[in-house]
Order: sequence, then structure tokens, then C-alpha cells
Amino acid sequence: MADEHHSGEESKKHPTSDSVASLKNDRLNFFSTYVELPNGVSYENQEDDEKILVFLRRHPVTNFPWIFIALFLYFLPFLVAPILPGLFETMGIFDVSVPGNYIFILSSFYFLIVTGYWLLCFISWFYNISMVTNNEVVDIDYTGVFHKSIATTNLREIQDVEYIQKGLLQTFFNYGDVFIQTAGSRPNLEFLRIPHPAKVSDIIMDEKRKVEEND
Amino acid sequence: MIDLFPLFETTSLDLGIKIFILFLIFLFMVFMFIALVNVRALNRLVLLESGRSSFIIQAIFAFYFLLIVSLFLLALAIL
Repeated sequence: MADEHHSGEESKKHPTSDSVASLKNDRLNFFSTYVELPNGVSYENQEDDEKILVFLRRHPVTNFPWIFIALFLYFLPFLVAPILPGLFETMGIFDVSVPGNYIFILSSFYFLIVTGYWLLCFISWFYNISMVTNNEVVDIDYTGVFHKSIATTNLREIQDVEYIQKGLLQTFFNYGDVFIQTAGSRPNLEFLRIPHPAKVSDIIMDEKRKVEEND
Repeated sequence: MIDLFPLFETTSLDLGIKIFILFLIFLFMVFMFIALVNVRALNRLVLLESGRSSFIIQAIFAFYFLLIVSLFLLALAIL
């Protein structure tokens, strides 16, 4: 499958298209993945006059694998339990008995672990937030209990923005990765698997141009 | 017939298995406590829906953590 690969330089050829001016004020809800000019969102170190232009999370489609895994794990004991006696019989073991209190505690523990798994996956999606403001770009990554990173970069420090859409799912559901290249030693930012990557890269480049024109 | 009851009834083995299961649940409890603390930290970092979403997530996580604590106490009582 051919990659759709675009650079922010491309949008510079169309200076008349102002993607920021066309943004519509939207309301954020619990499962929002792409919200323009969101209400009720704020973050630490946000300036008083700073306005969030776009609020982003990973596309909902990216959650399907862990949802299916969690569902499978919930039903796994019910699938395995009926075939266990037959399995033991083929191994020459005809009766296995374990005290009921152990079975109760271990099975409860198993279901709590599975619940914890999907809860952590959901949290990981919920707090993987990217934001574009009229002053900077913010990327919050929460990829596990022991890993959390917050990266921000000023719009003036952005050198180039490009997005990649690859594969059938990304093309069909219109999501992809946006890569923001920054100047100097500052780390580059990545908005991974976000909805409308083309629009987001346009917004970043337009806002960057606006900031530079005002300087 | 393989009867695993004696395994659980033999004092030293029984104690070993009990301690092992309790240790696993305790370890998981600590892990989830760290996750809960992280969620609180993230809620301070970014406020969503003027705090409504953040509150819901934190409440779900706190409830889940209480379930693990209950299981630990139950295991302590009935094993």
C-alpha cells in the first residue's frame, strides 16, 4: 500500500487557504478525538491569552485491538473450563480437585487483572492528548503506568510539519501520523494515529505563519 | 485421581501457596495504586470538560482500586 506522505511546505503554496479561520467551536465529550476550539479544556502552564485551537486523541479505530483482546480474555475461562476435563483425560489425569476458596479467589483475581488491563489501555488512550494552541504545540504521552511524557514546542520553533497516512484502515477512516520537526536541539513531536492529519498539519503551518507575521 | 486437596492442607505447602497468592494480589494492588497516583497527576496536568471527565476517570479508578483491596482482604480471610 502506498504511503500518502505530505510536507507542510506543500501548504505554503496555497497562502489564501486559512484553515484556522474556518475552525468551528465544538464541545468536548468523554470520547472526543478531534475537537476544534474546545470548551472546558485547559492545561498546566497555559497562558491567560492562549487559546486551544485543536484538541486531539488517537482515532477510536485504534482502540479495537485491546477491546477485542479484553473481551476474549473475559470469555476465555468460560471457553476453557468445559474442555479442561477432556484435556486432562487425554493426559491420563481423570480427576483434579482444588479447594473452592482458592478457585474463587484466583478466578476473581483473574477477572480483576483483565479489568485492569482494559482500564489501563483506556487510560492510555484517554490521556494521550495532543493540542495545538495559538502559541504552541503540546503532546502528552501516557503509554503505561511507569511512562509519561509531556512535550511542548513554540510555534516559532517549528521548521516543518508532515503527515503520513498508510494502509487501508488509515486511508478509510482518515487518520494518520503528524510529525513536527523543530529547530535546534528541541525534540521533534509526533501526533500518532490522529484523525484528520492533513487538516491538523495545515492548521499548525497556518498558525505558525500567523505568529511569524505578527513578530 | 490427582487430588490437590492434600497440597493445600499440608501446613508448609498450604502456607507457601497462600503467601504466594497474597503476594501476587498485593503486588497488583501496589501497581494499580501507582496507576491511580499517575491518573491524579495527569488530571492536574490537563483539565478536561472543566473537570467532569477527570473526576469520572478518577472515580472509576478509585472504585477499581477498592475492589483489589477488598479481594486482598478477602483472600487474607478465607485462604
